[in-house]
Amino acid sequence: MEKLIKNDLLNESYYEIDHPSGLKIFVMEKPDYSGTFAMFGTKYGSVDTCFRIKGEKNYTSVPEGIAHFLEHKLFESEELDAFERFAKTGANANAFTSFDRTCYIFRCADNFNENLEILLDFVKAPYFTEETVQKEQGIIGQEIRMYQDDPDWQVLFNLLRGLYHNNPVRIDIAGTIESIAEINAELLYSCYNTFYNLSNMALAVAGNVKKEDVLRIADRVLKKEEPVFFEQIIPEEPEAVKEKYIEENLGVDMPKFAIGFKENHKSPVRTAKETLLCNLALDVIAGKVSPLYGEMLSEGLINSNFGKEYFIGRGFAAKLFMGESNEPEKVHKKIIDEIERLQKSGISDEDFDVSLKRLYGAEVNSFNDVDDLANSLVDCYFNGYGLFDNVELYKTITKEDIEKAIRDFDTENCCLSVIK
Amino acid sequence: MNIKQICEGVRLCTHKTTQFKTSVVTLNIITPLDGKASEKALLTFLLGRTNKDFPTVTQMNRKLASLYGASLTPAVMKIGEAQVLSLTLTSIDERFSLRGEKILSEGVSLLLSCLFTPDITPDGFKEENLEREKRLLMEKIDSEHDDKRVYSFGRMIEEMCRDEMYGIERLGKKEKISALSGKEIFEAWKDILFTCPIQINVTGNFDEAEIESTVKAAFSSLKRKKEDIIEVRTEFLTESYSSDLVTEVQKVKQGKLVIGMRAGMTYEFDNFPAIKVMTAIFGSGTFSKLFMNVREKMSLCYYCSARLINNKGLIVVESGVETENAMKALEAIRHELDEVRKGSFTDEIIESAKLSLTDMYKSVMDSVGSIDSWFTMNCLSGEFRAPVEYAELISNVSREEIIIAANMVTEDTVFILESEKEAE
Repeated sequence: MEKLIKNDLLNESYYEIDHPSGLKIFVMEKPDYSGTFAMFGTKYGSVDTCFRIKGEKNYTSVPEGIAHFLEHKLFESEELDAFERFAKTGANANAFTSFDRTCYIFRCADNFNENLEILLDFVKAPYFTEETVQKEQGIIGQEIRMYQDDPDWQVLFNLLRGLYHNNPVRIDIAGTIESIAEINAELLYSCYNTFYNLSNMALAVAGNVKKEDVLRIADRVLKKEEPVFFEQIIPEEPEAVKEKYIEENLGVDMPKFAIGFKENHKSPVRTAKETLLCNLALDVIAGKVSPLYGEMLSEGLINSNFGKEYFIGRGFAAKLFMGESNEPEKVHKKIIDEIERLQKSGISDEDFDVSLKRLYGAEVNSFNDVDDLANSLVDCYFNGYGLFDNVELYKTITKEDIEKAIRDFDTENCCLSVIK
Repeated sequence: MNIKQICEGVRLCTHKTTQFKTSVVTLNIITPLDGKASEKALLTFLLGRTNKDFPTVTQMNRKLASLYGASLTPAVMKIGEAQVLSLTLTSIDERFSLRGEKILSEGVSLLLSCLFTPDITPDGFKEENLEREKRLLMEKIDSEHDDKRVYSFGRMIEEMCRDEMYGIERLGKKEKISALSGKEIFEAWKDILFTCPIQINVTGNFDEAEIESTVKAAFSSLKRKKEDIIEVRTEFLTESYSSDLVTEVQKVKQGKLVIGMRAGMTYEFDNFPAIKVMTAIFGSGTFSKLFMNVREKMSLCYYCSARLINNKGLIVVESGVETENAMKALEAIRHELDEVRKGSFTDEIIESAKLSLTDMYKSVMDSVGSIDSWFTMNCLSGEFRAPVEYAELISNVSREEIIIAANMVTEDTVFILESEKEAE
């Protein structure tokens, strides 16, 4: 089955294809670009540490960091590894693992067909041995250490450990030196066979490409796979945060903070509208045009590295404010006071207009680079909505919607993480 | 890509296209990297935050928001021995505005007014703005120091180029910044208006004639004189005269190793294609000798890579390693460079390096941000080339040229950030 999905406002379109192999494929043809970007991803990330295949009795628990480890190992093969194959085409290939997905990507100006063939082929051809697993432990060990020295990363993960009791979003994406030592070839195959089934994956291609070329290569490389059904287990999570305050001393010159408001999670993923409303609410509260931002800046409480984010993924959602400050407790209090003030007073028409225009502009700007487009196609699909849903939603949002989103902030259920 | 001289020392670089939904305009002021680095860095952030028409941060941000969330970003870069002060305005293409507003022309006027009409009194920049920007700049310096990779790179350059202008930090020094007065910044502002080459980059969908006349009108009233304009010249040392090993201990989990080398260049495009390909074979990309051997075979690190800084003729290798393995990694890196010098590399790796570089050059035109950076990175060059021209030069490099280029490289300074031994 194949659909052409168009948007008149942006003057963009893409194909959504149900490939006979079981894979969902998206193609966005952009003939005025010289390059093409492809992303082949699976809905599998660091939070998937416990699962059960349908029909099996037992749950499988795997070491922390295994999704990321698998990502590294997939590049290897019995003959030429994937990097060596891409070296012959000139493509720039890479991969990443997040909380709830793992993606393999390349960007190229030439030899697209060959590159796509390599991408589909290497991701579908796992090759793990005890020897190669051991070698990777050294490299990933260094990656873990590198992040331990990164205060921006540490302030976020400390916050997550403060917000959550059990949800695996609290563990480091790469795991720990100890947890990765438990990984072996057998465990890697077990995760691979569960999560790298084509029915759990998506391919998105954007750029100077023809849909027919993508499909021809997919037809050739991908074999039909029967779907694997499984449960991804997310442990019960108490509503309240685990800690209200977490501090770590890394001897930084500029202290970092992260403030998180935990959301009670009823559904596994947020809808496009819920996400957009929360982002608008965050912008009204502490965006660059908000009175709070101006005040904190002039009082010397924040600097140019202040930001906010609706932090969401499969099984978790929190509103975050992050930045650098010599007085993080004051920032914390000011943000809470401002949310509570807005919850009572509501917002002005002007505030509503300004934030709506700002975020609409950002949405339009996100339709530029082929990398971003392919990435968004996969992301939206995994979250259950379409690429153009957001831009259309702007027409329907009201001031009352944002006021409600602000009222949904639970100012009691919050944690402050500080790196000094 | 179009380059035009529009008045004394002012160059307009434009790339008109409807490919993107965003337009970007950057104003680059090209100043010599010198003893006034702190003044000029502070000035940049003052100019980019507020102006006479929008004197508070919130007023300026509201104005930008009304232009569909346009952003105005001040930045300071080191390009060769130039300290480039830049203000960048990014906005959506007005084809996508909901009520047909003119966005880009308003944005350009806003950008020019930031340069020409800052919020000043006869005594110079206002105390309130000065204090805010001093704090923000000093915190930015602190924050960059907290990134150990950036810090180690900066320390290596500081050591290696301590007798060259290139050793000066682009954001200035905290001690100096904290003591600056509004009057001193005012003088720095006057100075750049009359003596510095300026390059304006415009990328996106716009009316070329309109942009040109707006910019021309803004600059013509200044009446800049040719003899006042200071062209920046970068000193190139073709070889290393001393090789130092500098170590520093900090409370970190992972150590850092940074090696500075002289590439043997006498100006920024001297033998550029061969040196670029050679550096790629040595250490840029997953096909390179450093990646294949030091990371993949020896498993010593997560990253180990080399890059060419052609504006100063340097090659810099960076790696994150355990302190106990630092010397082993250093030896391994030296060994790989020797292998390139001896010509012990395959034809396949040459091909991979060329393909990867040409692919990269061809991709520059696919992003409004990378086109804008391309203009900026070439702001010192009299001879301007489009990215695709480099792709061609790269493809013609021979094995012999690569070996010659590798033999021109001399190691200079090694900086190692060691992790403090944990108490038992």
